[in-house]
Amino acid sequence: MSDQLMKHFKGINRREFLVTGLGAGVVALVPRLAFSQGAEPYRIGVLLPTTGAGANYSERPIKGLPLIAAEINKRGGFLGKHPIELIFRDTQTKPDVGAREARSLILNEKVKTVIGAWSSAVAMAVQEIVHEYKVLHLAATSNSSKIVNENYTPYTFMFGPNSQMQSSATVVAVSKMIKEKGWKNYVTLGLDYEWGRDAQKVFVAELAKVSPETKLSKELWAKLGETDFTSYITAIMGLKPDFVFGAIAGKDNETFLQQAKAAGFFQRVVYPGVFLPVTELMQQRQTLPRGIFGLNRCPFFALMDKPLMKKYVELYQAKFGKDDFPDDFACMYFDSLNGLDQAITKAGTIATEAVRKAMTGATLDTCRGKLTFRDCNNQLDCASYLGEVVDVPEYPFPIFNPKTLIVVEGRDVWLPASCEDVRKIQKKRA
Amino acid sequence: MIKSLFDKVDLTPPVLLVLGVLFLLLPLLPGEFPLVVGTEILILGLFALSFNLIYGYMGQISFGHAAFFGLGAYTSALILRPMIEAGQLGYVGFFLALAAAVPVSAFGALIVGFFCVRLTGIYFAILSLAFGELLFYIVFSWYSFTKGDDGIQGLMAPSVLKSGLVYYYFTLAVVVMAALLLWKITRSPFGFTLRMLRDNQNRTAFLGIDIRRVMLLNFVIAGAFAGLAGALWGPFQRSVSPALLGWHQSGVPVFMTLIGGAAHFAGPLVGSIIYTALNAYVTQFTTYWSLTIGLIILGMVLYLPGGLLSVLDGWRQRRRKAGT
Repeated sequence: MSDQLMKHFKGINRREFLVTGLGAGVVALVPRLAFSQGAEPYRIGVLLPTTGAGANYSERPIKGLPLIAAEINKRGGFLGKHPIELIFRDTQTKPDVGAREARSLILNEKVKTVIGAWSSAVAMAVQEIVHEYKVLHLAATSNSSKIVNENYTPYTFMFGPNSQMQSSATVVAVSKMIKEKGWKNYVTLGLDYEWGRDAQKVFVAELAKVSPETKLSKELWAKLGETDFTSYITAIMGLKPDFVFGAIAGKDNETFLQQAKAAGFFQRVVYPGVFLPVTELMQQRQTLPRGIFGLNRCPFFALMDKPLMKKYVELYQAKFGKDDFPDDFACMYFDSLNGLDQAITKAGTIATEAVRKAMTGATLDTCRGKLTFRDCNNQLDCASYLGEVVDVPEYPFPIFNPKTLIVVEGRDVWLPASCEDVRKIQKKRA
Repeated sequence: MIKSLFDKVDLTPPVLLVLGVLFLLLPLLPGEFPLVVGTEILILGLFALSFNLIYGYMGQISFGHAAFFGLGAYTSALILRPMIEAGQLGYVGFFLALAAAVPVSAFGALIVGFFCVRLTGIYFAILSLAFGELLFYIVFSWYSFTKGDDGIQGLMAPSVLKSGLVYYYFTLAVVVMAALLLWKITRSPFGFTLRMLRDNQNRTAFLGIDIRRVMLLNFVIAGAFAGLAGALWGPFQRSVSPALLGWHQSGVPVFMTLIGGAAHFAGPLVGSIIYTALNAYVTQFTTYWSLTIGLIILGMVLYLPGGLLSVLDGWRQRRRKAGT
């Protein structure tokens, strides 16, 4: 597994990773040993893939979470007397493995909270288990809107903008650009599966509401795992649209960007709204086309004025060096653990029901500022960040242009807009 | 008589004793997690037993067997989900949902098998893989019907069966009955025909046996039992996802059979115990679970190519020699 992991973790060499992994393990383990004589520890299960498609995004949460736990443990843990014990498990990016590991964490390790997982399918499988055993679930990465709407359980809290919020945020940014540039037509290119179809559908429907004069010229669908986007790139360039909306993610996104760049695509077509987490900005620093317009969930570089973000970046860099930065995923995991700390403090107890009630509708101090949970579905009112990819002297990789950064607040784009409508789509649970 | 039964079941007394004690008394272990692992062992054990009809008895390797496991899982999930949402899930509906998975998976296997059995060896393996991936992509992409890559969640068994202990014994009963049926099949003239065409297809054909028909029938039976295992999976895991039909999942019974021993009826079940328990418990101590599994399989292939139960063959032979 280690070789596979190394391949994914491009920004870190083998020796650094081993040292980091050992360090993280020791940091996570030390509280367990140090406080074993004291009050009841608070065990947290962390479900992240270290194998499979999602492994690329696990490195920094795995490195960063123990640092936050150690910070809280310095003052004795939650409420000053419940030291945190983090227990990491690999979901292999498979729903059934995620469900089994969640059960194992709850039944064997007696965790009170599960944080994770990557991939909405895994998170939804985990959601069934946490609901059954009435354990808190902090969805820090996975962001299907179903997690908080159709599949809602009062035990799950989402710490990032959900998929519908992201698509709607892109609409806000694009409609602003339409007004400035007078765009008349566009093309969509999506991956032919549920997420791609859903993201494209929401974008087209929402854009039609705010900019009905901008017409969709063509819908193109590529298969998941496509290795050759040449025909799509040629077709789009032939159609000469004013802009292209892409619903492509992960490895496919990287493949598309490389091939489109080689074909001179970005010199001819504007491509706004592509999902570009900090992980990709760092890993693709050499090859990422400059000038494209990306979307991000928690960009540290735009949030350094927030005290928590500044503190955590410093903490992270003190441990892992000045060339390493926490990505979107690490940021949302930081907020999850820190948010749990605040909810427990508010509840005055670690009893799950009391903590759940304290977290429902709570306003938390996060790396992204003060944010409040929507009380009808536990969706955090967090923003999506859209901006042009540019090089700046402060960082060794491209970031979003701070001068033109568009911040779309969660409450402005979440769907359904009213809590009454949210409750209508939430399914009955057994 | 008991000795004769042991020989027929292809299990030596110690293996039968160990398996029986293990499965019947497993709920006595402290905590609920052993029940979770036990249920998983039984379901995946049945899946692997069905795979071994094709591999161990027919001599062909299928890399797409999970397609039928997944078809069974989705059939029961698609029937159960509306009943659960309407709050009308009863025992009749639940058992019908499980039962419906068998003919649906068998039908899927009939279509896939119709093409696969025309080939043998690596071509059979590749074609089965191709069909498996085809079915995976249909389930993955057909969002309006299968809920796409999100899968289907909220699957439950009715009242009493919701309990982990009761569901474990229910699964044990179903798997024991299915295993007995499979054993009868492998010991029937049909089962011996399978062995014959595994060893020499030409000679089997010269005897006037329609080998394509026999292979197709076996493929359908294997698919039906894999579907039954899949049907048990959804209410156990509370959800199903397209990954259940993928090639990774198809590799699971292959590993189990190699670990336990393809030449023994109970080999896949023994393999399931080792593979599933390792997966469930090794991950508690190391994230290098795949390295652990890999090393075990490497050791098996190098030093015990016949699987774990082949050790008992040597023991039995030594006893026979000592007797003579």
